[in-house]
Amino acid sequence: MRQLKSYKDIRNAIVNETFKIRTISKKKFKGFKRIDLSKPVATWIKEDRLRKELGYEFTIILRTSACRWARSESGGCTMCGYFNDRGPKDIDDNLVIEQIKHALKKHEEEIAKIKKENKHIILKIFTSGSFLDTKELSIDTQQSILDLISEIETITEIVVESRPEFITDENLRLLRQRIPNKTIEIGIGIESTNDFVREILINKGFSLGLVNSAINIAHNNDFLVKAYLLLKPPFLSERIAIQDAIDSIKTVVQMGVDTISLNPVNIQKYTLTDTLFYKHQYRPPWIYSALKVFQESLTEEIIEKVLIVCDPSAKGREKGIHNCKSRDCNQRWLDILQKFIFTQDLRLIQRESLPYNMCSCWEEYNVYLDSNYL
Amino acid sequence: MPIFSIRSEDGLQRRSRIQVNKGTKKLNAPTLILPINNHLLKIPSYTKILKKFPNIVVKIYDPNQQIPEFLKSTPIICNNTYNYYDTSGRPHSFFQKNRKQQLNPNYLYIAKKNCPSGFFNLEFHDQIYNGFKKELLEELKYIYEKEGHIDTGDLKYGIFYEYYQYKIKDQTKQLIEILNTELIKNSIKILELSGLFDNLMFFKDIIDSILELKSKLAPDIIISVSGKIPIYLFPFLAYIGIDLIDCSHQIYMGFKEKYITDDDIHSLEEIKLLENINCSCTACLEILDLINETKNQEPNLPIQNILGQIKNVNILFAVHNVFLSINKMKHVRAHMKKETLRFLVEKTAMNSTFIISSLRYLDTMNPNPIVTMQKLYKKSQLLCSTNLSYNNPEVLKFQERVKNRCYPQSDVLMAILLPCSMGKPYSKSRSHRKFLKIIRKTSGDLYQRISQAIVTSPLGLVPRYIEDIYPAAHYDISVTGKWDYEEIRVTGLCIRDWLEKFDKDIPIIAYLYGGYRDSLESVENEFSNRIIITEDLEEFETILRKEMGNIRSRLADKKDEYNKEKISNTLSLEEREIITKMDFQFGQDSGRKIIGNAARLLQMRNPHLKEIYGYESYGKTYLGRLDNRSGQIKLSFEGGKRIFKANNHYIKLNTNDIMGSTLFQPALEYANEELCSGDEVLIIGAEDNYIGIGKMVVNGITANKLRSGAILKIRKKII
Repeated sequence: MRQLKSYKDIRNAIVNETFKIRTISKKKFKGFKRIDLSKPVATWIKEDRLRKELGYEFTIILRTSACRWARSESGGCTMCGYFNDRGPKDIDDNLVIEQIKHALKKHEEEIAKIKKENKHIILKIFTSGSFLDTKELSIDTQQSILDLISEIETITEIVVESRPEFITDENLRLLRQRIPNKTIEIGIGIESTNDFVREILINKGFSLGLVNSAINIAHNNDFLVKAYLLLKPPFLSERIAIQDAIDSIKTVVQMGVDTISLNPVNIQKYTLTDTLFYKHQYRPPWIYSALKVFQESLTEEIIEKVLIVCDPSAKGREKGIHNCKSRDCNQRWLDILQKFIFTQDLRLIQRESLPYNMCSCWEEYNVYLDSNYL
Repeated sequence: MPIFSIRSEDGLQRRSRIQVNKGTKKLNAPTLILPINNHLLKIPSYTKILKKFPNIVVKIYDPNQQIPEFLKSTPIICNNTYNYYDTSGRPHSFFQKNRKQQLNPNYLYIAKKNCPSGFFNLEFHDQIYNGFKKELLEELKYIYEKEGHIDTGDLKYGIFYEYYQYKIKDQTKQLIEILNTELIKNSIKILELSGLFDNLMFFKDIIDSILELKSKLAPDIIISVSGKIPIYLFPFLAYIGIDLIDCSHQIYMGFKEKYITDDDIHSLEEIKLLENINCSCTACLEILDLINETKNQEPNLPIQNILGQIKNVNILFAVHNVFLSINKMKHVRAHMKKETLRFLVEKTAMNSTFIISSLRYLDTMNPNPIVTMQKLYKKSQLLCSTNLSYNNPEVLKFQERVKNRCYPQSDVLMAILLPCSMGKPYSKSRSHRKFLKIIRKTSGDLYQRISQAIVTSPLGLVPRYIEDIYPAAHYDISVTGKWDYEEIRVTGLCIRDWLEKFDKDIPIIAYLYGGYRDSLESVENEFSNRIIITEDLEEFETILRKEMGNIRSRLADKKDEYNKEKISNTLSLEEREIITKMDFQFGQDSGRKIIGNAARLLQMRNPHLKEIYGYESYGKTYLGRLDNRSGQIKLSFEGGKRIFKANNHYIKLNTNDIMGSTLFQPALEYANEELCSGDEVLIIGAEDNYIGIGKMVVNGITANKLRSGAILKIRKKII
């Protein structure tokens, strides 16, 4: 942090702008009256990669009081718009449990079907904030949510998300007691291991040291750690962003995480990236870039140790990761990406085997990498 | 060794030479920058361009980029020296790390801001560049303390400045503040302006910024521009003094399947409007072959569909776009060599309102920033093609010089105004031969005491004695006989300025018709002189005869006085010509000084040159020679001596010892700011003594601000 002091002014400018945007979003918000707080924001089940096999992911996005960092005067992270899916500040914890129940009930049949197929489910409980933050979800609520899940056998893995400052020894011990047999993974949004990128450009607000200790605590309590890395944070050019992601993957592997999830930025409403996007100062990353990151950072050793995940939102669209306007081109490359994630086979993304000359945008991309315009 | 040396200037534009290191290629600027990376180097037709057109600068984005053998001696701009990257988080340096890796002497390193892309508001932009300035200064200080110098080492660096959408002027102020800090001011080599021409709507801000940068910075900083620069802007960019233009946009457009022609950008769909590809570069020939192949099989397929089927059409388009850019740039340089760039700019102005608006804005500025720096003695033709030409700086400068420097001799008896002619110089044309015959016939021995001037547009008014000076003998304008209001107004003002110089009792006789007459009539009432205007040549002759009769009878009354005056003071026709030309070139009074007792013009063996000799009691002296092609007088050492201290055309040195044939900046103490590139100039030594005469390489304003480089070519010096 001491070294970043010279960037104080830049940081202030970014913080002010993000806070301003958040304020606008608060002003334009029409209130919670229209929203049914007993239902989650979204739920879905689809095919996904589990730690050792192919299975299904079951995602529940809960409506809680939202990320404490985003609510604060820091304005939150520059690319994160999950704040928009928040509930009221004083939302009743029972309502959250209601939401879980609603989701489980909604997908009851599908879960049963998966059980018949002898496949397993990875359950992802996202809260648009930190699951382990006791101000967002009290420890009791956290525990009762896990209680609800522990009864379902098909669910073998659970993923929750949290900022590292909420990962405490005491908290994790209590949770572990409730579910002794299931794998629980805590996702930490490390985003980038470069301090400048993470703390100034993304406005993440925690140091790498904190992450390190959080990883140790999680491992001591038999939790796994998933590192979220951001591809192309705002203010970075495509080439630098690729380099940043490659460096981050290498560092994160050394830090001992169990899963790496590469998240290409997508433009979310009421964020700084949104502002930049509309001023033609930002373009979401190319699919080529994501593959390039994997090609240049991953080795067989890493793949053996760590699970690599990449499930971009808004993929193939203008506001998400995409190549050119051609739908075929986007689909072709997204398929390649997905296939690699499902199989974790590095041979699939070897440079020689990929159909780079199928679409003309490959040339465009290679000049775009270096140029200043977006 | 200076990396950048200016070879000649003309207004804001400049021709220069770039040589980054000893033994590397010398490039003629202005020129293009082409990017390379591993991917682009794999495209055979692109590498062929790099091989075949050696006069380009190459830009790389990765300091560790492998440079192929054929580019080893090309100057390379390394555009990836961010300072925060390379370690996890610790603010790092722009150059220190590079210095450990040994800097490549053929590279120009460009320091960039911390965040490679994106601004959300102006405040953020300010913060970024404030931080950038602080860090760059810290780093330079470190290098300076460690090595005792910055610019003499192997570090040749520049600054990348990216403009945000609006308030361009404020941003320029910030940039100048950065560049004017002590360490940067003396060591910076290149300045890259990015995004300045992205939004052409703000033409005033853009022009003001360029003028501000030009006036505040050392002239030997290479100015390069990048961003979305359309091809038709190249001549204008050269005209306002840009040295390097980044061509990445054209390549990018090609890869996006955009086909660029001289004045437009066409998408695949729009190519059907062109009916077919109509260019004969190698890339286009290849495309045409492929089109013909497909057409043989499917004759009815539309052209855009055929192009869509061709596999590498975007690569070919990119190569075509680069070809076109290079050709355009060559065209620009050719016009610069011919000294007709202004004409090319006016020609291309029709492509964009930006150029028209900018030219109008530049030309009508008061005071005009270009006029003082405008080179006047040229040998090329000046084609006044549009109404932008009325305010061409060359025209304005001519008008200004006629107004301030050309005066009729004191013994003039009559003023005659004549219309201009198609043939130049005027006196060689049929109509003017007729006029001259009439005037000679009627005036007899008083011929040299009649002042003649030719009314014309857009020059206004040309006194007879300087009719063969540039641009009077070189301009051409379409004549329809119909004058527009602006022409009449401007010409009227010029006539007024000229007629004001005559005594009130001198009759003014004008053989003028149409627009010529209108312009005279617009100012006629401001004079108490007797003005007679006629449209008929025979009437003109009778009037002249009558007037001359009057004058003769008046002179006869004071015959003794007249005779005395005639013997002692009357100048010959040649002397009057020399005086007017000298006054026009060097300022008022210098003509009288150089003549001495008597002077003559003698034709040399070369039909274009005439020698000027002065006749004194001790014999004749060679004073200089007159070049008919440009009308410029080149003085001899003796000629210079005669006008020494009588004019402003001098530079002052801090030494008396001038060796060799070129004078460089360190010897200069002061150069008069009216001087232009190509001007004859007197050299004054440390003790205010006359030591020689030479020809300016750069403008006077530039010479004073130059950090290093040639200032003038010495022609004659004291032995």
